[in-house]
Amino acid sequence: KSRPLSSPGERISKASEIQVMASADLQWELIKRNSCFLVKRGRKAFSTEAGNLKCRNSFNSNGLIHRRTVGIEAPTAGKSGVVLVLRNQRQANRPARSHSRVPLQRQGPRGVLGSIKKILRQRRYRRDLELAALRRASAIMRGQRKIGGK
Amino acid sequence: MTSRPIVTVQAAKEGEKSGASLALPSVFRAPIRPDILNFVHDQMRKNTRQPYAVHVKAGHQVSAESWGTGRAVARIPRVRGGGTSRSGQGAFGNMCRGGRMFAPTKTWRKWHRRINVQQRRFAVASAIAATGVTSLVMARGHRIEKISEVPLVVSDSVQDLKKTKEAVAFLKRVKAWPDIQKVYASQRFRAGRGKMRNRARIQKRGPLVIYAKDNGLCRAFRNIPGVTLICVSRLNLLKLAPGGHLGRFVIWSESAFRQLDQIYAKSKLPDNKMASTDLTGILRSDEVKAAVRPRQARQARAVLKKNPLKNVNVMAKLNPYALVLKRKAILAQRKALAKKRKADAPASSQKQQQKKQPAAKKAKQAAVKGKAVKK
Repeated sequence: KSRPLSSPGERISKASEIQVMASADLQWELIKRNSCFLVKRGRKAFSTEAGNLKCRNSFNSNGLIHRRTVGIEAPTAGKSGVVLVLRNQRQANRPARSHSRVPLQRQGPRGVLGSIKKILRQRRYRRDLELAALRRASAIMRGQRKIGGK
Repeated sequence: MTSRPIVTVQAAKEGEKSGASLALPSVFRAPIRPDILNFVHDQMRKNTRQPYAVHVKAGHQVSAESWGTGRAVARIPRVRGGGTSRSGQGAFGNMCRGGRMFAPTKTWRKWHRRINVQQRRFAVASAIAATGVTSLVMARGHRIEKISEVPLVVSDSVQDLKKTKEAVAFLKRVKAWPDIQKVYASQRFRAGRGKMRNRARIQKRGPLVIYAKDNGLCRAFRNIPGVTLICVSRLNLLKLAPGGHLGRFVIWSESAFRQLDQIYAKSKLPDNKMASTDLTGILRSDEVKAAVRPRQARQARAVLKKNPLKNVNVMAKLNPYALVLKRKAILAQRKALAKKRKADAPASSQKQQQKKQPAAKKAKQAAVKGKAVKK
């Protein structure tokens, strides 16, 4: 139907269409001051939910609200690489199915970062978060380096 | 009209077939208004209060009178008589030891609040609507990551559960158990005096199970920590939005879910102020785009002026030939320097040239032979 979006927010062709579920904007208004993930420290507000790349409490960064969300997680202990977690657009109401996880392992850091870029760009998926995703992946992989190693 | 989304009924027991589809009741599209909900919740919570007050006679069970002036003491009423340390002590005042407090609390304080019916209904509708939004339920703290659907509707055989074991198995089947585990993890002692006042233990809230008919359900679930049970016909805001916070995790039985449409006939539902709350979508919609002027190309921002006489790049922008001139100047300078060096050391250079000649011959010979020569 609609062209894939490169930034958050749902596109509707007519302003008169009634929204079925609360829109991202409305949900943001409800969550921004009060949520179990909200952490206020040092006069800044952080947010600890899974799909938040910058851990920032902001509309764009939030991992719960939007139809499309990018998450980068460390894999289970012992493995290297990173897990890219994308949100399935149509499954917003089905938590079990709402995320697809793409493990990026056994590639070196460049491979991982390249894969992330490729996936996000090909799908035109939250391009505004691309840099944040790469940074987060880098940070995780840096932590996986052996101490005193290469 | 947009078609209503469909909710699939999950099987409660093993061996049952899930998959019956129900249309989402219109309550779930009621406006979500945390302000109204919070207000109503506050008022409602006051209705279970028990009065507290100080004893009527407290502080006054003394006949005391002021000694008046002229006796080198404060004019506060003093206890009469003698023979005891109490005699002559100040009485009655809030500042006196054993005196009455300031503004003694009375039992006829207004403990309860009445709330307008429309407001109450609005709040409950909002609370139910919030129950159907995944992010709100998660933001409230419920662990619903593995649940198959929100709102979670379950077949009516839940209502027939009799044993707690079965109830636990059901919760695990439906993937609601992590929420209960969260409750277990949160069990702790209250901080403060509440411990002494029969309120020692506290824990988080778990799922709310809403049923149409209790065939043993309540007894099965009541011992599981965190679970609350209510009947559809008596929806309670204090359970739907505990703490005044929207988005409790609710498990509906199928008949309870069906009843919602009857309870909340469309005429009873509050109106939305905005037909569409999707602000980003509205700003991008065709109607708005048609009314808006085209985006202006990025306007040039003010650039800090840099001095071309000091800054080569800026000079080059203004006068490209300046680079050529500069280059010429640099080359000329180098040449002049080289000449000067040669001129400055004539004697040593002659000797070096003599030394260099045989070395040069050797180098040539070696080059012919193909050997490496040290310089």
